[in-house]
Amino acid sequence: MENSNPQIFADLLLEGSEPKVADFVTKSLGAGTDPLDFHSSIYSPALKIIGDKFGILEIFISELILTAELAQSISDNILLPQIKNSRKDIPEKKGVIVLGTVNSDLHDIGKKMVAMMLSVSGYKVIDLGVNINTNDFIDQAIREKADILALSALLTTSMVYMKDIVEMRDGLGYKDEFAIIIGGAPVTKEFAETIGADGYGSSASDAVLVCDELVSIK
Amino acid sequence: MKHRGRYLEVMKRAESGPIVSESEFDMTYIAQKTSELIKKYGIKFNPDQIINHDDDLADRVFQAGLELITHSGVFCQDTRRRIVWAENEYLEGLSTAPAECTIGQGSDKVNIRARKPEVQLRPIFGGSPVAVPIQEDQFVPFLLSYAKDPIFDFLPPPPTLLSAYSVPIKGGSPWEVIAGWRESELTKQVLSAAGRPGMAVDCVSISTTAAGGISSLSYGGYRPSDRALVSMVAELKTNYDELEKVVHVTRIDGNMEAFLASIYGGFLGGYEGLVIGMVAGSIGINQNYMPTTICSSSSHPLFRSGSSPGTIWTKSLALQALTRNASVLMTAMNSTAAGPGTKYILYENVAQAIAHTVSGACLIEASLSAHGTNPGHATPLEARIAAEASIAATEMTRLEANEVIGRITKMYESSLTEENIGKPFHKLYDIDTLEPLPEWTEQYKEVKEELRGLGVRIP
Repeated sequence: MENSNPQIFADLLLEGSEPKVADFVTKSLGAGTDPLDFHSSIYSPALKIIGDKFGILEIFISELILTAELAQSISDNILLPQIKNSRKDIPEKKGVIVLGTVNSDLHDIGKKMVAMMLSVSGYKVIDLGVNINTNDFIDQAIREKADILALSALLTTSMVYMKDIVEMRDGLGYKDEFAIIIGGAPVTKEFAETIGADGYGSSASDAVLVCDELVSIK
Repeated sequence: MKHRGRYLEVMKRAESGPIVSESEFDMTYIAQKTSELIKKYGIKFNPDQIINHDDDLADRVFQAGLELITHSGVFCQDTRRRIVWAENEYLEGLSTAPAECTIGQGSDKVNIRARKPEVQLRPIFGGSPVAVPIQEDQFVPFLLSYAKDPIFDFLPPPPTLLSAYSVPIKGGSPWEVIAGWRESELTKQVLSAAGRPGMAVDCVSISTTAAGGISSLSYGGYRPSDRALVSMVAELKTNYDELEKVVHVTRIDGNMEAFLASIYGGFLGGYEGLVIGMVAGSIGINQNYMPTTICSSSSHPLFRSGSSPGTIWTKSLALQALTRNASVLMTAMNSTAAGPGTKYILYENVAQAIAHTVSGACLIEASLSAHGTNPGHATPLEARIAAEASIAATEMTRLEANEVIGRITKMYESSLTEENIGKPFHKLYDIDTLEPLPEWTEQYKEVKEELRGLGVRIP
């Protein structure tokens, strides 16, 4: 079927015309495509295609944000209602990730890039922002029932807080409840291992792979 | 300094400017507007002209940057307000910015004068292991190896201490303040040992918050004749911490180096958007921080250096746009993907030094080596070759520089995404004499011969 190619859907999303995207989806469903099948074989793969383009910076963060917002709108207004009507289960997010830049660190854009990649890769992402203190990270991760707490730091003086966060999680008994992954310019795999973090991401794309692995073994 | 008379007005506008959410600022004021300006002014990255020699393009970039900052203002993250000024106010701010200044004290003092593209006046040159992390007990010999080299006029940001009195430094805590004092204490030991007590130093290398950045810039610590570092947050943003530093440095009548680093792939988009944002940011910094000097740079998340052809293009063109249209003290920094002990780091530094010099930088700092994140991975030799290349570049036109840099970038471009972090200082230098070991000196000499073969009249 002409409308069964996720690349075509991805291109439409990037073009940014909500009427055209809505028309594509409506025609596809009207031609008999099961909405759940559309979600798994066209919608989600299209977002992955877009995420991969961002991972190699073929597109930029503003395009990714607009595309993700458009995709979410189509999902909320057309796809999910159709899935509900067909009495099937709404596809779940892969997991819940609470994310932020640690205490005393105001670097934002890199963290935003990771948040967007995780979001288009199928995660529910709660971005707490920058300069987030240790207590707030832990409290939010518990409140949101996070699967993963993702920490960003761009300074050697702020990455030390990552150790505090791991220790607090473990000390409060939440080690088996949510994993902690870390990233940022001065952060290394060795540092992650030293402080007892569960994973390290060297880039936005890498963060997705690490999260996928952690969620799969949970 | 007379241009700082408006500092109270800046702070008032941070409390009274139009309110906007940060996401709307990013998407509408920055991303959308930049995209419009790229089309309006016909800005296009030309990979065959890494060093732009089209004056009309440079002037269009300046106009585009001026239009962007007039439209967006600078976003204050703490008040969620845009600090806005009219176009004529920005232009007046540029006209009253210092075109000359002095850093350092006594016989170590250095005069800095505004340059324009292709001017033969030599830029002032600073050498240090810019912000590279280092163990506390290695700080002094590491930095002294730079301070004792007479080719360097001042010390850019010292290495980043990993501890203060053996305690890891935590941003936002008293240990950050202690670390600022410890850094100044150790830096003074370096200057004394080098016989250059008045040499200017960029400070504070480790600071994150205002407390860390300000506290040791006072009696007994760093001096007004040093260069306090204040940053703009990407893209076109500020916050209370940075403005607190501005107020303090203004009140002690200190030198201030204000800097920004725009990010490829972020809200400014690609190279065309970056260069417009760098100009806009520089004008915004000048207006709101009233610095002595301004460093406008860009970074690429995949290459993590300032040496890719596209990044050099943005730095060179932004410098040209600003220095052609204002007499401001624009500076530049060399940053590399490769580390010391590799030829790549030498090529990366040479390409950037030539680009910055012919494009109008009045002061150059080298080198933020191996992304600046690998402990101890920096040596004076890569900064020295950059200084030597800068001297050679004062005799070059932009056209000649473009030809040479085009060939030099081909020598290292494919290595930018590899992890060629090289070796740490103590494996390339004699720790007792603080001189380079033969292996490293040989590579340095080979690269200089290669450069002479390309027509670079490097001393």
